[in-house]
Amino acid sequence: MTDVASTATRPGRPAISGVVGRLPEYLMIWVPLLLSAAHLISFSLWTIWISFTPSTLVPVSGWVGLRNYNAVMASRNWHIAFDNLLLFGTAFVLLSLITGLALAILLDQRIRGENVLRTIFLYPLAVSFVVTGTVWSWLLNPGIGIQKLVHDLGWTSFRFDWLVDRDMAIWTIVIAAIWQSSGFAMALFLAGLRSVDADIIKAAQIDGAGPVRTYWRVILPTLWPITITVVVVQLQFAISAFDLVRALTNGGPGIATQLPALVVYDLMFQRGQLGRGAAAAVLMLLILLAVLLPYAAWRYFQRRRATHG
Amino acid sequence: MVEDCPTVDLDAVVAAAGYEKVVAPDLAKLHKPEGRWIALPLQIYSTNMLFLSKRAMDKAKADKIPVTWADFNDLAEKMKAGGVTFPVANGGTRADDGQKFEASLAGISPIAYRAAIMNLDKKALEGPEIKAAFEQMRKITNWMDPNVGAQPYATNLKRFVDGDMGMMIMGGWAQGVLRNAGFKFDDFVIAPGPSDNGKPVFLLNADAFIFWQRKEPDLQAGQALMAQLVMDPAIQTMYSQITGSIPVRTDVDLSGEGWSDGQRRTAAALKDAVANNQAVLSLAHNMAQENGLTAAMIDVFTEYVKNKTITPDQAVTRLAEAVEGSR
Repeated sequence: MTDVASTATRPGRPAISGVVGRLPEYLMIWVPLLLSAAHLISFSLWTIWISFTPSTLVPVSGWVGLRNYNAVMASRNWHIAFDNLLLFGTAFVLLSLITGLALAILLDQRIRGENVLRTIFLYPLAVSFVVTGTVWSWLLNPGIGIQKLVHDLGWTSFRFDWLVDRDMAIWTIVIAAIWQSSGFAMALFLAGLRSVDADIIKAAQIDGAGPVRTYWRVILPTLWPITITVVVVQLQFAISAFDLVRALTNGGPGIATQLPALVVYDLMFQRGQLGRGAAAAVLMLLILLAVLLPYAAWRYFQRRRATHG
Repeated sequence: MVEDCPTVDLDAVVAAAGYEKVVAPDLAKLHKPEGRWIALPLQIYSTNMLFLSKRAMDKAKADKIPVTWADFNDLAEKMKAGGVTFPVANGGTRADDGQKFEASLAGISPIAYRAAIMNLDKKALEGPEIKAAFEQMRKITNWMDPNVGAQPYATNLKRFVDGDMGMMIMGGWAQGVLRNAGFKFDDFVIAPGPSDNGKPVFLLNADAFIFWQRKEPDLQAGQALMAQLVMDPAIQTMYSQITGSIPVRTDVDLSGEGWSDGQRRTAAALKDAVANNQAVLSLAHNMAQENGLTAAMIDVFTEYVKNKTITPDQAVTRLAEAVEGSR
């Protein structure tokens, strides 16, 4: 907010016309912000309330305490979903971070055609997750996609059937998710790399540091704030992942790739158990808060340190 | 549930149209949860119809439609020997996996199906027929293409017609999909699903419109018109000829042009099955149980299809546990 306001105030302007002049900006920002906050908070509160009621097909009032929570946490689906979330979240965030950083460093070498490459790597982000999931479900299907292609080329013992392998199927979601969003990490990292002061790099080179050492000791340490932003954004995507999984595996083979958001949808709209679905949604919200609260605290302390020295 | 859901009382409309006389009694009961009509069925499917690929039959040098599960298994072996890669055509969806179980159990014993799946009788749920159904289901899964992911059965229809896949256990809607994909009636045969006592078993799946109470007079008028249309024999004829179902009205004549042999066999199977008390409600398509129970049971079936290390005995235990856990 302060950034926007400060760029708009030019020195020397009278105060009154400044407020009036900034009115469109205030309206532009505060109205949607308040609307979406009210939306978000009211629906969250409503969901929390539903999670304590005996609601099934339609919302009803009543109080069942923690019964819905106990039922969800005792269910096999939720256990599988939670384990998958841990695996998927960790693997996806780490791998997309590494891929994004590697792409950014490679693009940072002032190569020819950088704009074209950058667009190509960023393009998947413009595709919806449903499209990504559907396309990868064909590519990864052993009978139709990559495996068949390699077989047809003559290497008939080649196996790449993770999509239909219960133990490996979760990795297909990791692959598709990385394809989709490592471009985002790349864009942020590239901006970070470009903003490193050229003098520092030159100083390092004069001191005799090679390119690897320059990156490792001089440039990468300045990327910490960006890394944390990327991790937080990717983690909240991982926790709320739904459309990608629904299109790619739909929780299968069997129920091997269930994720919490799928369980919520399944409970609410397939099984007609609104109360339990709401409880699962609240559990998801708690997981998200476990990621976002430390981040908010970290930001807060950073800012305090910056202003108070 | 009904007391929470304000639905329109359709008794007067149904009586005026004389509709109740031409609807199968079991189906009528299903749409009158408290003795009053609240929804109107439009079309009927049996989820265990057997689709046979003509080219796969040629490869197997077979021309007899299998009647029992033993016949079915024989034919599958012959197809395999004759070069059909996958004797059973399948998709990877939950409903697809559920249908494999319900077709197996209802074909082995419709009585056990009614007791275990529709009435959730504890003894029947752990009975020998359930184990036999899981054993038959394992045979079926061994003849299926494991490389399906979450794709629907329709993905494999071309391979089915080409004779790369042999038999498909599916509802009549597959006829609509096959026809609209440009395939001909000569490409496949539709017959009632395997039944060990030789008499057709009908796994009923009906599509219906439920009518919610509205205050607006124009919407109420629209609902009255909609109800008339759904019950209209001409509408039901037109609709079923497109989708591949059979009409809900038992007084529609299916001998004319526009109907397939498969649809005529389906209608005959319904008549026979009702007469022999072998018409049961489909679990995989949400007719036999409420959603929560259905989903819990289908969890067991879909895991069983995708995980061949689960034994039939383990599956019986898991099914009983799933039912117990969601009651």
